[in-house]
Amino acid sequence: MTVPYLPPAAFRAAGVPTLRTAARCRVQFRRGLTALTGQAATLTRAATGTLVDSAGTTVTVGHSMPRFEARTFDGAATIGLRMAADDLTYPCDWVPETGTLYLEFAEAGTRATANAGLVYVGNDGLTGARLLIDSDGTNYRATIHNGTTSQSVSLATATPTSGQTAKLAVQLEDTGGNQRVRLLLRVMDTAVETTTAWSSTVTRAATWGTGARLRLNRVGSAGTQGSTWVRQVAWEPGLVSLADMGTRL
Amino acid sequence: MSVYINDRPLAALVFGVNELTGHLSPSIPQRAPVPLANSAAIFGTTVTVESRSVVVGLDVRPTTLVNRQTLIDTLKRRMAGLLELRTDDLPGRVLRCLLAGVQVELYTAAMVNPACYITLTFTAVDPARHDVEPLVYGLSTARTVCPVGTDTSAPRVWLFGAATAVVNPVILVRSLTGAEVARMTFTVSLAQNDALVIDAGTQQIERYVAGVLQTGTSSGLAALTSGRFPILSPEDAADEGGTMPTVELTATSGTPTGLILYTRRWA
Repeated sequence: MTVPYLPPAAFRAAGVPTLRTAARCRVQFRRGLTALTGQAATLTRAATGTLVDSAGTTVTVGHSMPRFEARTFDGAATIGLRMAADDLTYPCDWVPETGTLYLEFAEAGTRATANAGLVYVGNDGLTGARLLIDSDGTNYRATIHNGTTSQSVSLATATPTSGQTAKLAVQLEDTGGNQRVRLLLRVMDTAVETTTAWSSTVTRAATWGTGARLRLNRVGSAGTQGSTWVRQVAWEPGLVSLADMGTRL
Repeated sequence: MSVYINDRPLAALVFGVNELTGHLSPSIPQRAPVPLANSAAIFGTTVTVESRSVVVGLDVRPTTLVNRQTLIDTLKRRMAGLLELRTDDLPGRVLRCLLAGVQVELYTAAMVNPACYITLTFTAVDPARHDVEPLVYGLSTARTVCPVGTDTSAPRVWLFGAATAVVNPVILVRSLTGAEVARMTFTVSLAQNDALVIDAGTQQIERYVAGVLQTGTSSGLAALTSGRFPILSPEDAADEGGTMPTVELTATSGTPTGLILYTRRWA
């Protein structure tokens, strides 16, 4: 007995089918700057910059133009965005929730620079609730701030080292009354995989600070910039494992 | 053989993938005939390509009738929207498709036997597979080799300005023999912080000054003088795929530099 099921319609109002993802925001730089989930990027770099192309040649690109650089990630050639003096933001329309902020990147100097930003959810002025992943000068550190108090947790080892690629996730747990964070890290091509303990809790903040954005390479609009190469960044609801965040849209 | 839909393996949901057909057959472009007797009215030849149909058969063995319905609901959710289909034999290439039909075949004693066979039919309007990862190369006055697949690629090209302005830049595409096959000419002076971004896929040109998109008479399209959007074609490569087309830049004055980004497509 055959039962035909009609496929579900999944078209935006404009009538164009789009890729669907469980994430609230997912950017895969091999597809361009615009997020899979539709958020538009704002990239600024008040100077030229360099990248290494697929032939291994160093190329200079113009003012504020994206530096799509070829590297190897998990054994395969891939394209990511090189960032140093670059500032990249996306609108953040979701509220603090139990969720996972995920990054695939190559270490290029951020970790060894005190207070250099890796990825940040919050407003330009560092007010209100925010989530920071930056360096404490030696290790990567995740901080949950409710606008009044904050709690942090740091990785215990100085990894990844310069040139290594890694998957990093910050899990934010929201119990409805409190929030806390922990870090997960897997250094590619090694056996290094680590999960920190949960941070202490802060009283739950219901919204991010006014004007919050998802920002790469810097904490706030005037923070210390890092140096990194980013392949993918995403925020997904739930406490999602590194494996799941990296292997599905 | 594993089939991945949006990077998730179907085999994780079902007992087995028993059928996979249509994903390897090459698509052959059919060229529309051009009426020579009316050559003055020719806009250009057109090419039509048939969509590709891929059929996937799933052996499903849930433990209960409720689980069967849950699994079908899960499949429906995952099959919504534009899909990227990958297979184990070519994990570096994806086919962009839509789910066109689902058939659920129930076995004898279907009200107590939860096992079933699900046939998924996908339609790819663009029958070509795309590399998962794009390629990026710097451009200059030297010929940059741009590898192509077995179908055309529409790149995105950046042209950068310089302290000594790049005046009237030109993008040149050459075939494997070195013969020019495409040219795109601009009338514009690109200063230090200027850039032109040419998208051959959407046929859009943007002009930026210090990262700010220009409009009106300063827009990218206003700078276009003549020629056509650069397309990388396997017709410009050697039959065995060894020698590839090249892209280079020239200008009336100044030293033109740029970047080209594209994915190879496979018929």
